[in-house]
Amino acid sequence: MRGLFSKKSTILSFLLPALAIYTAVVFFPIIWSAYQSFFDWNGFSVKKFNGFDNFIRLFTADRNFWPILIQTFVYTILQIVFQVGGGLILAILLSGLSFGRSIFQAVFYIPVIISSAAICQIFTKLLSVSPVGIVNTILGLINPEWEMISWLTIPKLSLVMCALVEGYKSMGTYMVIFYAALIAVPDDLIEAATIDGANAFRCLVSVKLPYIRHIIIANVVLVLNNSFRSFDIPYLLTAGGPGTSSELLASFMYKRSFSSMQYGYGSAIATVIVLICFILAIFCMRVFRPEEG
Amino acid sequence: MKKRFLMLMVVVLAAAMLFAAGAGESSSGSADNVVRIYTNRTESHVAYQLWKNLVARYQAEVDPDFKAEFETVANLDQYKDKLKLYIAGDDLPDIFQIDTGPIAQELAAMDKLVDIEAELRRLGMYDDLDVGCREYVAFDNGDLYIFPESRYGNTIFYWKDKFEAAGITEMPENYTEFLEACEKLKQNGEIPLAITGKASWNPLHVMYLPSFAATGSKWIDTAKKGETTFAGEPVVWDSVNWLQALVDNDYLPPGFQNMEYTDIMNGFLGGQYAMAWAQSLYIPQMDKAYEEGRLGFMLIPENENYDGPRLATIAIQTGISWAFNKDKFDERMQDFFDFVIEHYTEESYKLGIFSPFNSEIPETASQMMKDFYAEMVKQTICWINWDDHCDPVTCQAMDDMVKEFVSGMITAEEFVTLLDESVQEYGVPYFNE
Repeated sequence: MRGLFSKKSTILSFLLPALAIYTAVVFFPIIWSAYQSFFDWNGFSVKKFNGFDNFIRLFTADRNFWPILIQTFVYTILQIVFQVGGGLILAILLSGLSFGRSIFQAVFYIPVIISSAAICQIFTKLLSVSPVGIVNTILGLINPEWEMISWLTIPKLSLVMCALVEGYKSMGTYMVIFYAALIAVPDDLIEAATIDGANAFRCLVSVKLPYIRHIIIANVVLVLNNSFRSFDIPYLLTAGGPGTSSELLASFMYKRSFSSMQYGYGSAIATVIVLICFILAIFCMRVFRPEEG
Repeated sequence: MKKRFLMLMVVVLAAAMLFAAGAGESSSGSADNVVRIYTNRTESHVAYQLWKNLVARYQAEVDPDFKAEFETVANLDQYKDKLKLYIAGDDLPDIFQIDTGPIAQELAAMDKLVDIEAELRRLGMYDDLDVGCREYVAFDNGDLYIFPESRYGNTIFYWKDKFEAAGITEMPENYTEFLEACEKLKQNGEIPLAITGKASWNPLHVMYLPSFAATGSKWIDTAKKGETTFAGEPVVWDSVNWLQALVDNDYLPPGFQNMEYTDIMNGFLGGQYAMAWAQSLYIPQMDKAYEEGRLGFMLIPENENYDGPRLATIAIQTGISWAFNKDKFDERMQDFFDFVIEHYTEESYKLGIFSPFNSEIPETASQMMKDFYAEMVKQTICWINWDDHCDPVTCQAMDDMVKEFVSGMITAEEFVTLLDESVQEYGVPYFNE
């Protein structure tokens, strides 16, 4: 049996089905979508080849594209702050607990397993203005003017609120990863630092965080890529609005394809999203490549 | 050994693929026995209950084996998106709801829809269909491929006690008076008018009122093709300025941009807002308050900037209409269709909604229904949704832009200019090809 698994052909025969499925469900749609982006098609008509027209229109004539691209970058940065930063803070707090740790761990992880639709519904009610939701009721007790803050419909706030809700939903995942990394920091390192006179904060900054640096980077890369494809929370919470103030590339692509029935144009946006994700992945691999030795 | 192992892998993969293919066939085979009804209406909506009742009655009286599966998407924008996905995937449901407009016309041109006019004529019911309802669902060339959901009248409903408390003794006759009434209500601590900005159709319809009551809807047919411009129609400016006034003066609920229509209507029915632009289908929920003298309906205000006579006082429309997939319209479906048409009026009035077919209103109907019906029959034109008569790209642009407009992100001038630009770029080629 050991001999069988030492052969490359055997290993290949195990890898091939997975590769075939992955090609069918990931690579083929990407290539097909890129191919569609060179056509003009509304779902009824005959497809018309129009070369790079969709891309030219996207980059030069679409008044929404550039603002939405910038919003997607801002959203990504906010996601890194909320998900990686939030997850790390929770993990640090958890690792400092000696009693009831598992209860808090479960509580912080619950949003991860709740569906996005339910989370959005909860936050819509919490942040509601008419009727006044819990958040504004509490704020209204502090300052009556704050009772009327329309969190989801003020253009400057809507994107941040979407990022906050998505961060709340996902930070539990990163908390678990960071927590596992933090408890794996060798005790002798911490003891050595303590003997050298480091307090708890100093231990954290100078010992624990540098030790889990690669985990932090890996999580940043994960969040980076996921955020560029974010769709559900902003779509369900604000539908990209008001106007396009919380629109992201993925929901923009969806609306152009399925609402405006510009399937070729939507495919062009999808191709741009894929290209950006590839560029980001290559960038991250180069910048965060582990040092040799 | 190596060959045998690889052979085993191939056999396993082939078996898996065959299993998957077989499973697909089996599931679609069983699905063929079930009529797929795709609707925008939820269980709480009377139109949904009407069809549920018709299906149940058909099962009880005609065919016990008849099965129907309802697929519901409550949000209209999302409903339409999914329908477009079905169209593009050539997977039209057996019965579905669609607005009269370019997409329905395109489907009819592709011979995908049952000719409703021919079917109604076959049943001798064509002339019984109310003319207003028929006009509402007919295509530009008069063809009838979709069937009215109901016969609705839209107007502004209001709480009389809130008006009295604000010192409003006379109903506003025009938009200036309407805005004055809103100001009085606001000063009295009320939220004057309930509108949602999340469902784009709602502000678009309210916005359209000064145009509709003054000039009807004929100008849209030329504007959507780029033969005239939106900017060149004075009533379009009356419309955008009226909505702008409502937004700028805070006459709408706080946070209305992200509220669902259901929440808006629940708020109004619960007495949270003074007025709401609503359909007659809410009459069963309002008739008690109407009979107690606490609630009333007003007529669509007159556009004082327009010299001609007021063309409408209530907006007659038929909701989102029903279409039947021609490919699935076999003998069994035709039998079901005949049954539906035969019992539509009776089942409609049981639920307290008006039938699209002309008939005497039942004696048992509420006073509010009778009063409202008396106003409905005076109408000579029907409503038109200006937001689904343009090409699909411009329709979507209108949806997006009205949300930007009510959020103060674009001005009235930008709204109209962008609309015309979209028509020039997408509407002109769409309608000319």
